[in-house]
Amino acid sequence: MNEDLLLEIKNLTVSIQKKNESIPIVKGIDMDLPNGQIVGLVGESGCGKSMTAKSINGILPSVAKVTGGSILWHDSKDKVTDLVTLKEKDLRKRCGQDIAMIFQEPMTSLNPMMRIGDQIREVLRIHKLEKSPSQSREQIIKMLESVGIENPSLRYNSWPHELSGGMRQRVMIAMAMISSPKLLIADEATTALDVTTQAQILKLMKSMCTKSSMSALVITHNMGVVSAICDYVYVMYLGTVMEQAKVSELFSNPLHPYTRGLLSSIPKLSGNPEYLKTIPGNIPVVNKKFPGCEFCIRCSEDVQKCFFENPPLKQVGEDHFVRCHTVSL
Amino acid sequence: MAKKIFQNKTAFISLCIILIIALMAVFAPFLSGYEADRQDLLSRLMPPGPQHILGTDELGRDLFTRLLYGTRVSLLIAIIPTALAVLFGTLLGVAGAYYGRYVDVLITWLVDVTLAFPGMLLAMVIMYTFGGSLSSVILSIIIMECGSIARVVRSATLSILENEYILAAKTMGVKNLTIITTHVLPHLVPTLIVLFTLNIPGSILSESALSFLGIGIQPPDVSLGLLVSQSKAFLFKMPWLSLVPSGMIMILVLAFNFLGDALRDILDPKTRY
Amino acid sequence: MDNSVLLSASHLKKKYRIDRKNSIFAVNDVSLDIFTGETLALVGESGCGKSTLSKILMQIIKPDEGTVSFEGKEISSLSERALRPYISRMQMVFQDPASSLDPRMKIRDIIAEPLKAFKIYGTQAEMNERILELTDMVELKEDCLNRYPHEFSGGQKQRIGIARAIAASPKLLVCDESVSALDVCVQAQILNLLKRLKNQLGLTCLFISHDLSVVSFIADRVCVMKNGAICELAPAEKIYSAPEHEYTKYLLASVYCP
Repeated sequence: MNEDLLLEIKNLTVSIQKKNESIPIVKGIDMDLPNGQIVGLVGESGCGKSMTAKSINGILPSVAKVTGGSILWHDSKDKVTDLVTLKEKDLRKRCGQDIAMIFQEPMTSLNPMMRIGDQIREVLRIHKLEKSPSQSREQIIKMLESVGIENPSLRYNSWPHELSGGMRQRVMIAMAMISSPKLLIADEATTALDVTTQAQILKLMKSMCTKSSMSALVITHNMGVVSAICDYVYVMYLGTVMEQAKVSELFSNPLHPYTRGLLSSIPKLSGNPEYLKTIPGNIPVVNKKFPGCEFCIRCSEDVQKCFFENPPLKQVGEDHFVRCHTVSL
Repeated sequence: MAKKIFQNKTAFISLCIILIIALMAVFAPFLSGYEADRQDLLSRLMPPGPQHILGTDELGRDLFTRLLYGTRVSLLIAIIPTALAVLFGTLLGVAGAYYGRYVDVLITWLVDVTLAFPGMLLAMVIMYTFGGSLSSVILSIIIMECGSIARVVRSATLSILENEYILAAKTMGVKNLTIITTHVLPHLVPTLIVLFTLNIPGSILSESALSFLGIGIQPPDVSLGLLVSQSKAFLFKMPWLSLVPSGMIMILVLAFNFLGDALRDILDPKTRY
Repeated sequence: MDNSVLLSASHLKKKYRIDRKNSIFAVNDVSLDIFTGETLALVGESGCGKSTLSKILMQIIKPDEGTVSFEGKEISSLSERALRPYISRMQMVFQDPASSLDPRMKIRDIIAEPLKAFKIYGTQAEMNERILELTDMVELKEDCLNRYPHEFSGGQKQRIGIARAIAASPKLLVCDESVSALDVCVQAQILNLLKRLKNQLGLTCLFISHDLSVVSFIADRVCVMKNGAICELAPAEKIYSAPEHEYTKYLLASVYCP
């Protein structure tokens, strides 16, 4: 899948800086985002998936810092920019135009003192895409309509509090899409929504991506979301990629014990076992450098080697990589 | 908490100033050889000198001694009514927020009424009704401050009550009074400490203003406000007579304000009133 | 499952005023029976009234109309005092483990709270023994008792919440979105724990959730709610294999399963 890349993350390390130490939370991950594909990033809370996304558009919290690696943005076939080394001002500019982000909380991401239409117009203004007022208005109303908001010309003048959670998330998507970005990052964008609304929003995101051949990075802890819209998926645990594969491949043939544990932890709609087979224990707090596999303490396989040697990421099939000693080629 | 106060410069310095002044006021009889109301007509209106450090007033009384005794009364009047106001304010605020409905309506209405009166006017009414004395000053300060404290406590309590552990306690059959004492009051303590320190300057100023107007502390008692008032006739000829007690009021007010602000940051960085 | 009714609600109504003129029914004429030993799930989208209904059943809020009976005795009209013995037999596990535990209390005191409130144990020693037994039941270590809630992860906090809920040996356990805020693995652990405790202690369970896949794992019967009213109430197998109501079908179609 190397042919047509939009974004390439190479050996990215993000650390939290405390007084005298720096604790790595993303430990050298590699990730490819091809043009026009939806890539999923799954893992439990605290696995560093959100930090990875935030380092792409440089909105890491002040305690965290990118301490290594590069994030390469492919402007065209032969022009490549490293977003990590970019100055903040230039990064901001690029992010607004080419990279859009939607967050989990649509309530706090919208300014409660501004009408919906004006907020979207603000995006146009910042990126200097504003045409004449009437043209912008028309463009915004069209965008609102395309994200499935009924009565868009009426909603243009609504306040955020007058909308339901799902509607607000639609407005957020409209806001993200208005500058026609090349990459959409959705950070747990449907987690707070009801199942029915979630289904609608996911459908919308998928159709937006195919319509405008946009790429998306979907960050979630919900395997169901991944199965619904993603093409390719990365499974993260404690800051490292444990397994990566095409979605159909990962769900039909999960190889890493962590992936298998995650999948068997999810209750199905029918045919559930008496008790769910789950991963025991909690996510450990790792401060010290540990030589072995990060997952070995909770792993169902009991292999001595795992405690001393961190396994490399091995290719086991077409586009299927696993980081585990127990998996042989 | 004590450690944090030592680390916070503002808190530490203002606390030291307050402690030094308070100690001086408490040990006034040992620090000065004079008595506060002892008149010595031969040494009237003396400028500061070796015999009288800060000079004497128009009746020949030693200003330094009067300053110490005045600070004593002013501090007393600052702390006691503020503490009582915090106590009553907490009772009203918690009761209103917790029991809601007509209890809340009644208490909010009461608070609004007291807050609608100009504080000074209210105090004057009390003074003229009960006569100017220490206890009426205390009463009027309590009434002036109680309302705003009750209001802050009420909203703080409301946000505490939103937590699910309150609901959990209710479903576990915990009695209302027990819920208030175990789940509400402990969480209010930081707020109350800050409210207390931030209201003390207000009390000092109210007392001074009342005494300056002649309706607060009555001679022969002394207070800082009374000292300023009595020396106002000599403001241009002998400015130190009024500047020294006014300076003392300013230092106390500033020290308590700074301490309160610092405590607010130390105890609860998230809350802003 | 035996056939005696543990908790029964009949024609419950609760109205909320939106403004001067309009009000909406959070719960509109709901009648249902919970049988001893079963797990009944209450499913619906946010704002469908499932939380309000559970609070009415728990006697936290009073209904405008209708009655609730526990073991055949009507309890919705009882005074707070007369209600206490019934309250101890229905306990609740909350959604947000972070907000349902008082951050200033030690775990020991949190678990002891219902024991003290219902005056179940005479001596301190008996109570300590019970607390140890409870921590063991929810698979927590003994040394956690002297620590504070913020030192624990979400899953562990939820275990503490469960220990507190079963402390007074209730008959009915109401779980209000108790696993919704948890990560998948921890969610599975807590679901397993709830199921095991239910079998071990013979509990009856009212399980409120918006997640149909979680419900299918734990529930015997499912009650689908919309706009304050019950759409469909049927055994779990039937809901999942042959849903009758349009809304149930719509909900099921919205669930993505890997």
